[in-house]
Amino acid sequence: MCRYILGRLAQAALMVMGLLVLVFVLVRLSGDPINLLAPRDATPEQIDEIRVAYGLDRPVIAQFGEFVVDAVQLDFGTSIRYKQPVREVALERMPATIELGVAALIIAVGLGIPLGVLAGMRAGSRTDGTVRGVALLGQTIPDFWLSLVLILVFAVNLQWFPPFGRDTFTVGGIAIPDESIVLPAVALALFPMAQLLRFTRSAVLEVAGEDYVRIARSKGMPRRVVYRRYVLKNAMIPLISVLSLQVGALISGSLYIENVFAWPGAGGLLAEAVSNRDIPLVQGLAFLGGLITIVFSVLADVLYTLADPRIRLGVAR
Amino acid sequence: MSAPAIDADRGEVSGRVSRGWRALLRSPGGAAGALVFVALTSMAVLAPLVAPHDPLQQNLRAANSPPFWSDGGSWTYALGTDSLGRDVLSRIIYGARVSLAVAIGGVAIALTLGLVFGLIAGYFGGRFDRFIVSANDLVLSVPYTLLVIVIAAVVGNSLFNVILIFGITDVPVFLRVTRGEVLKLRDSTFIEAARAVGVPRRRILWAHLVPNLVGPLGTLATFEMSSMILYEAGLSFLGLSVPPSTPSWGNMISAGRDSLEVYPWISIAPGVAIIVAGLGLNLLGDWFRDALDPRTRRVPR
Repeated sequence: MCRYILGRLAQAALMVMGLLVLVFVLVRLSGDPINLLAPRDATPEQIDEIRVAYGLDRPVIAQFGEFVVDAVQLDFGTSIRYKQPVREVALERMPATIELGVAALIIAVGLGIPLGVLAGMRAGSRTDGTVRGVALLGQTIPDFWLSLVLILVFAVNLQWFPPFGRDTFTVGGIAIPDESIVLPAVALALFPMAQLLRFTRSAVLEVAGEDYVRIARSKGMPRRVVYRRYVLKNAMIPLISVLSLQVGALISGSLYIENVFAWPGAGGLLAEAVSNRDIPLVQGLAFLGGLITIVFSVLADVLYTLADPRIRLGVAR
Repeated sequence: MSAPAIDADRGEVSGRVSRGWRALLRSPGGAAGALVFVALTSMAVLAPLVAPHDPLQQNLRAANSPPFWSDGGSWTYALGTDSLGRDVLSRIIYGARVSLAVAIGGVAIALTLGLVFGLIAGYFGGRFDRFIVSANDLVLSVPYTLLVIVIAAVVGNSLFNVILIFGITDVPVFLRVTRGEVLKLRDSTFIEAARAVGVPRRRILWAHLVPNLVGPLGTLATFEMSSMILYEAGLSFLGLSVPPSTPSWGNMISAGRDSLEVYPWISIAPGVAIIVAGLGLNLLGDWFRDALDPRTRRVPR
């Protein structure tokens, strides 16, 4: 198993390398990146200066080498807008994003998994139909539009929550967000909730069709016991990887949600950097986002091997 | 599983298709999905005939008129007007053009490239396959919105670019499904039989493998169209898709943001259009999948 984990880590290192290539290439898609870095009204002399400052006068291979060396230290240059190192600007915004992501994940798991189990246990029933309808809606409602609707209903009309911003109260020197986190967390949870629900439902259905479940049922074991002992336990294992996939969904969603709710996190920062064409900042944040996703997928794979004895004991391999 | 005849009988295929149509109309979800898709397409194609107003025409005197059901609303502007007095309904109708162009164009590109590379990778295997699979996994590991937004920010916004961005970034999804299906089919009896009687490789690929991919890829294409409509709206919302002057659903939601509290319909109405389109395509996709996979016919998955 150690060998498997080591192999997975090596694979992840390759992925990070690939991610660096991707980020490097993407910024050069438009041809000469100088067009993105220089202000519109720059004189030819200024353009040359900027070109030298960013090392764009050197061969592409040298540029890439330097980019990798810098990127490993999370050094992505200076933000055009903030005139500060990208690393500082980006890391400063991370806690708020993590906070929001965790809150959304709690909502998504808390609703998605129980509803999925319920639907899976009663496949074909009216409950199942309703739950599947909820999942379908969750996957088709645009989260940024839902955010606006939530603001309109719960902030403007009912005035239960503030329409935007992050307010905190302090407990033992730690700032904890108050009810201002509720609306953005609900909006962000929508899509992962729908995905978890759909997945849990089909996992339960699939395990319920296995031979060992049929045998347990035919022995006369009560349905409830069969579900608790066999079906749920086995259906939960693949959930680990599905959960890790939600990290990507949360990062994607945070771009919009933080933008709409003016939540001071890294997602909103990226949305802002994109509209300002703050390319160094875009590059840094995109790399961070990809990196976090890769880290979680490795973590999920390792947990998976620990949770599934068939893999842990090397039976399946 | 018994091996089907080496050459698909054309008569049987067309019989299956017409039976499929009848089954589609019998299933409420499938029929609703098909209806939405047909409505959406006709709306986009016939926009100049269907739309009550010019979507770009401003009428500042009628700016921010409410929709017909609220006080002060009228049927002249059934869904109200925006801050420049442009008719929201007409803009939604014209907006369907952008959404559909991106969905159909993007899926066409992704499907074609994904099919070709997936076939080659899956059927021939080897080093090319390994390279393709790792490149594919890499792109799939990056959060999709992140990828699309960064590219859109760099290459700039025009309808053509947006279609191209979605088409190319979505190739991995089609490639993976194609490759998986090809791997399953490659060693099946009917392919083996075709190979044994000396059917040329190209003919095996196009006459035997590709027809078997129509089901899974068609289903996927429907779902991907629905996601592309959603993602395009997202790009538009951030101002990274078509220019703000072009009516698109995302642009409209974004334009209504500032006056959300007073004139909510400007943002709300186009969102409803996105949801209806997405629901329709998803229902159609669900129906495709269940109809084409006999195992799931009884209990929907």
